Amino acid sequence: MALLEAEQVVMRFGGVVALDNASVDVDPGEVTGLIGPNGAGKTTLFNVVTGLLPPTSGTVKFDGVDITRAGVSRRSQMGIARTFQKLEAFNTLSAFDNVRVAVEKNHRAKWKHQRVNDVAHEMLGKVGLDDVADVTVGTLPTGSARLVELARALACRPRVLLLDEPSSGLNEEETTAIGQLLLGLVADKDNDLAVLLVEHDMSFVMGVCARIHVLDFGKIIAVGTPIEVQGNEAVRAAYLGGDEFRAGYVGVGE
Amino acid sequence: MIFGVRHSVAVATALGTLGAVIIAVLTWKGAQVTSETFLVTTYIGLFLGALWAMYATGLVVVYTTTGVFNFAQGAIGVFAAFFYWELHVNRGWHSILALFVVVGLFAPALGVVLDIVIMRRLRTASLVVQLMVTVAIMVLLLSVVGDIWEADTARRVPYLFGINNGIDLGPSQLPWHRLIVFVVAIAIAVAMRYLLRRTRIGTAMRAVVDNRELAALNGARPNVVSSTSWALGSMLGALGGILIAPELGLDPATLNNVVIIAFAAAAFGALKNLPMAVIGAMLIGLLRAHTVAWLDFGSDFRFAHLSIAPLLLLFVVIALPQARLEVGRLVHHLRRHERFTKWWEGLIGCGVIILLAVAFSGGWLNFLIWDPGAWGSRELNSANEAMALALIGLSLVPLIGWAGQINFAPLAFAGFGAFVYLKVIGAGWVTFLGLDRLGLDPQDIRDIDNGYWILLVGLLCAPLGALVALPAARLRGLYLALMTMAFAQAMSLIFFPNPWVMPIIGTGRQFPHIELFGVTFDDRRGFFLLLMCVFAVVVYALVLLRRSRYGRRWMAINDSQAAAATLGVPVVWTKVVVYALSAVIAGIAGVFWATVSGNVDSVQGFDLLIGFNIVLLVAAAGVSIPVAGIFLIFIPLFTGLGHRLEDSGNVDFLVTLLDIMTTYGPGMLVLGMVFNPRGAIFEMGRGFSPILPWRSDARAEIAAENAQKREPEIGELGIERPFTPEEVIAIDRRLGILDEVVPKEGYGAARS
Amino acid sequence: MKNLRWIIGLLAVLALVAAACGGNDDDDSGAGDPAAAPTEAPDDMDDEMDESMDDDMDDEMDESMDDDMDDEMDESMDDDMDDEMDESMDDDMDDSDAEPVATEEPEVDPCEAVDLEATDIGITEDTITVLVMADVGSPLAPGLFQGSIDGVKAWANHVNAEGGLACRQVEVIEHDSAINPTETTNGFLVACEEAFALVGTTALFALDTTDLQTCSDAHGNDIGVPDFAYITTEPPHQCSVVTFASSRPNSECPYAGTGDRAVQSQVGHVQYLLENVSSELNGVYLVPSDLPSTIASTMPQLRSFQEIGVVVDGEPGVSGFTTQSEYGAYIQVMRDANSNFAYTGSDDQSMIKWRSEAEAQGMDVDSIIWMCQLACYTPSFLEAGDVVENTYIWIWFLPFDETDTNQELADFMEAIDDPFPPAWAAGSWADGVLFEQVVNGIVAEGGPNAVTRQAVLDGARNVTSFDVNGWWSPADYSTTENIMPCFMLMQVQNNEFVRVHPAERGELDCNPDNVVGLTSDWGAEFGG
Repeated sequence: MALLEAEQVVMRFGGVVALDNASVDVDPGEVTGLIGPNGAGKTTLFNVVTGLLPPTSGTVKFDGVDITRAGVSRRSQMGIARTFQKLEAFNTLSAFDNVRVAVEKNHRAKWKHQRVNDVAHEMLGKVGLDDVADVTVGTLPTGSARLVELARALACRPRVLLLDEPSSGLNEEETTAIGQLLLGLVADKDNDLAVLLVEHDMSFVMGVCARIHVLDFGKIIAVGTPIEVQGNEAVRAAYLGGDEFRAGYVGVGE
Repeated sequence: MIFGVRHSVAVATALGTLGAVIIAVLTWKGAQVTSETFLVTTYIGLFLGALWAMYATGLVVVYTTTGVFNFAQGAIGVFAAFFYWELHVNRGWHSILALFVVVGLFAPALGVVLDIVIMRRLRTASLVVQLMVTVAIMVLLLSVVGDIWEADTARRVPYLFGINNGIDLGPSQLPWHRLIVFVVAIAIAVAMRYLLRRTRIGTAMRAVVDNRELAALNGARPNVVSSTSWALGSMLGALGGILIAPELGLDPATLNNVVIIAFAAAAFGALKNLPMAVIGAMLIGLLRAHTVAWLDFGSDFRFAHLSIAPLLLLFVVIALPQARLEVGRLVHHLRRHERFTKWWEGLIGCGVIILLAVAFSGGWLNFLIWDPGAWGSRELNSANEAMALALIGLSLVPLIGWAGQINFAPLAFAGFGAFVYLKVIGAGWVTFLGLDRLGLDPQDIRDIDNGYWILLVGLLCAPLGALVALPAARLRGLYLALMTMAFAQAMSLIFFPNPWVMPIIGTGRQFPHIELFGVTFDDRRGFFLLLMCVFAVVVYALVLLRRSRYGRRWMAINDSQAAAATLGVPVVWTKVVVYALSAVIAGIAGVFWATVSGNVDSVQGFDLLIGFNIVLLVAAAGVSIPVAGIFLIFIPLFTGLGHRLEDSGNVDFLVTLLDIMTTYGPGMLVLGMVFNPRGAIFEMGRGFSPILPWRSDARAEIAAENAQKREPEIGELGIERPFTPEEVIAIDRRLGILDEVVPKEGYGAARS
Repeated sequence: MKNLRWIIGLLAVLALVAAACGGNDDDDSGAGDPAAAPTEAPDDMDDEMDESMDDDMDDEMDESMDDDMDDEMDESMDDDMDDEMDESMDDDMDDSDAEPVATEEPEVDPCEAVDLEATDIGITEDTITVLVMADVGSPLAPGLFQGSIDGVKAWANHVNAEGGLACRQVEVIEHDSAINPTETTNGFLVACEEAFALVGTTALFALDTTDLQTCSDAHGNDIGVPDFAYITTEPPHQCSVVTFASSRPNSECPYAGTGDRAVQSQVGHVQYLLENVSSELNGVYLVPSDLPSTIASTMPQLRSFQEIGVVVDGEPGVSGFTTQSEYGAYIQVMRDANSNFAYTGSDDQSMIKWRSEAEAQGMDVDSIIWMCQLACYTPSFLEAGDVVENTYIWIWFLPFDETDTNQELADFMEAIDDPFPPAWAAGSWADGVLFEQVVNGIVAEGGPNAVTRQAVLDGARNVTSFDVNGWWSPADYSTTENIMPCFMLMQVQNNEFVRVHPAERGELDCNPDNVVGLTSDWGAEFGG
């Protein structure tokens, strides 16, 4: 059984169907990809999984437990962490404090100040942001802010990490580093970590993902290894045949 | 239906109706119900509703098309009504000509000017700034009206169409004026709905609000569109003002207060749905007319009929479906390193506060003032009031400044504190709880120094804060502002005027002098020192709190509730805590505030405008910085300067300058937030801190800031082709405007 | 609110500084720019007034001092005065400290004989400083009671032109109480420290009069400062032992603020209507219900009307927020009850709205007796035009157009320089005259250096009948419970205020039966 399962999720906004019986499963120890054109419903699925949107129908299971009705922070405490496509860093706080908020909520309350700080520094170190720890995040470049979100999510000690386009705003070198970091994290058995990755950078996706789900018009049109997905006709059609207008505007739930 | 069939709304509506019926039965006047009286009352209600609908239509149009909720809508109406009076009554112009000049020329011009000078710059501003700026415009417009048309004579605006002829209804009649106004109001609402939904400019107007870039790419001209919106909104406000003025008489405060009814109506339509807003206005009109006709609330609840609108506003806002956590909002921030006030800096600062207080009250700062020599109890009295208000203002620092929870009701919290204090020291609770049978003598309670009870008062106020927080936790931004405003208004109309709450006394002080450690602070100097010490302690506590995990968490939910929630921060609980804290500070401050004057004016003392002013003041000074309060110590100094200048009478130029400052200063100051959103004190601090030898970081930051370039504005693009229907639908979906289709988006789109 | 304006004004200054320091010189910071030219020129006005006064200085002095007091008063009283009244008046005149001045030989100038001293706070060798406090500067209603300030200034100029008071010139300090309890207290504090007495006080929110009643005089006695007020709305002000209001509170003192209170009310005007216009009156009485104090002061009147036979069909509360169409509800009440009487205890605007609405509802307005009090005696009431025709208005002083019948009124109208001044200008002038009379009494007895706060307080407390030299209804300042017994009734006819009763110009109706005294918990009397 997969660690995280979204089953037959339907998400309707009035007449618009953002997710149409979409099912995704994520296993620990590997990076799972979720790709699809703009507006395919990827972010909506993330919002459903993390509890920001209640699905119209369908279930979300975590570790075998139905969490469809659980609150956002409850899910977080169970071990679901995420980053956002549009930055949701705490812009008025420093990078260090961004991480500290997460550390404080996800470790024992008795922790001494010093220990919280140590963990926060460790997390920032993992994403390579040591030297901007005291800079207000709103003033950092987008790429760095993304890394702050990543560090913040890691500080929650997640069992499932949902990453929404972590590479956008990063240069090639940084993207590679992130990829290495992710692979290192999932490879570490102590972490027992599962990663669900939404990404547009195809080489990045193909490089780090063990399995890939392809979403189009709210439907999962393909699931498989990178190689399988690349060869899938429906996927090609979805990426190349999508009309410009829809790609540009119909992004409900983004 | 805007709400759809929602369980919670149905339950809330049923409960509300039940409550209304119970109240009606309890307060039934016993007058005879005749069909004629019922008919007349109903048409009066519908007519009043039509007037309020006109204001509400303007609000909705501006909000739907610019995303700015215009608190100044009522003030525009006030100005227009006075202007119309000037032209028509005072200068004898024909009513049609005057109407055309005011509504057809002046109002749109005002709207366009407001848009170009101010509103466009608010596009990317935070909601706090947006709200404060429109409130500031309200205050400014009212100041201008007060300056031009002084209140020493009463003025009347005649009815536009004949009031004395009309349709015969048996013994009564329905005047043409009212019929025409009703029809016009409905026609305007229908026309606006058509304009917004069926025409190209309307689609463009709605498209621009949430995504200028997108709309511009698609051919809309954002600037033209927003100017059109403001012109339209301003015209509707002006027309409403002119039509309602004969009903109320020309009094700025009274006319301006009408806008709260319009807020309630607009909220009924979730701020975006015109038909529902009109229905809401009619509902309030009917409720009010029938309440006046049939119900009798007695002197203790004599403002009950006036509180219908704020109560309904409160009710509607709370009953609105929960806003989903928003993601992806764009806010511009200043680039800087985060730096906390060090604990020793805080200590030094608070020490300085107390030293200044000692120096000031001891009369040792006289070298700073115009006429040393005559600093007496009056200056100290003003100083005490100023400091008590500043203390109330401090309660907003964690709430608005850090957690981003807008609160227009600081005065209601403070008044509640004062009320609790009265009851606690009165010791009536001893008997009420039966503690006297356990051997506790109420007199023993009264003999205890009353100052010790103040902390208890603070604790007792926390539940009120938490109570407000519970609905507030579901609300964001604008709805929160409206809810707290309605709460403040309802408290000032129903709670405080009740003599049980604020007993009327015949002589002496309602609120006794504070006693602490056996000392009675009955002279103003001692009380001033006490106030300053309390102030310093609260400031220091806030400084420490800001450094704590709570401080971080509050800032975090302000920046992104969604992200905070996904990190495991319990958003509701966090908000409850910060509201409770704010209520504690405000409650304690309220005790001091009431003690300054000794007697609270239970009717006007809690006027909404005073609450607005406190919030404006604190926001303009820098609501996120507790230490900003230190600068308030100079207020009595300047107040004294002003009085001295007035008294000496030979420095007319300076008197006039100070007069202009005090009349227009508030508005102007807050308008400054358009450019300095973090407040004046913040800017001062930034200017000052590089001078401190240990603040090399501040020097570096200034240098970096100067290097920063402004972001380029989006250029205007021409419309090359009309939108196709598919595009219109698509844009609507993208923007979440089709509220019938996407109900959640309708509320989620209430910007925060 | 005024304080807030200052606070905010200060912050505006700080903002300018901040803008400069922060290097953000954006357009908004020019807001409080000093570019606007100063416009006030109070000095000029004073000068002008002084000039105009100089000429007829001597004559007026004699007239007003000698003749008025005895003759005018007797005249105005003759008709309705009975023996009792006569007696009490005579007694007063003998006892009163104020009276001897009238019998003083005018040729002897007491000022020549003594070296003037600074006898108390606010008095120097050559000046007496009085403070006039009025609610003027609310941001939303600037200029509200400006008339009070004008009235006191006019009085001071008049007095100075006639040779001054206690051999000194009267100087006036203004204080704006700004419809605000704190500023009102501040006014009392300033008066305590800088002025000899308060004259013409028109402050609605005198909630705490502790400072007023207890501050120290120059001799270290905590006796308070004399307060010659025009209106006293709140019980602490009504019952202040140093306050002498020309518009008498007519209410029992001391008073706890809640519970029963004895109040006297004038009903002569309604009695007149019952006797001469309609033998039966039933109708609606509007209660101004914004403030507890307005309810408490109007309910006794309503109950007094009932006492003499008026049937009340309804007693709704109205406020400034009541829309005209909401008066429709009261019209319906009148219709249902077949009312023929409509009285407002509220202001002129309430009567205009009420009558306009009656016409809008197609009511037969001529079948109703509409009545209002002093608040409708304003030019803006007439500006409403035909709609207010036939409204009855009663007041307790001679109307402004009867200057030929009373010298004090003539002096006032000349000094105030306004064809139809606001009532509070008249009231504040009346305060000035009372102050003047008390001081003159002291001077007559003990010379110009006998004038101290204590002496003024004692003098004023002994004034048992003061009628502003025949212009006003006489009032007893030794008690707060004594109403002014006189009234005159006017009616709006052809858009003018026309005297109805007493028919003779210069007359007031002073029948002692005009007064009804009742005791009740007035706040609880109001139904809403």
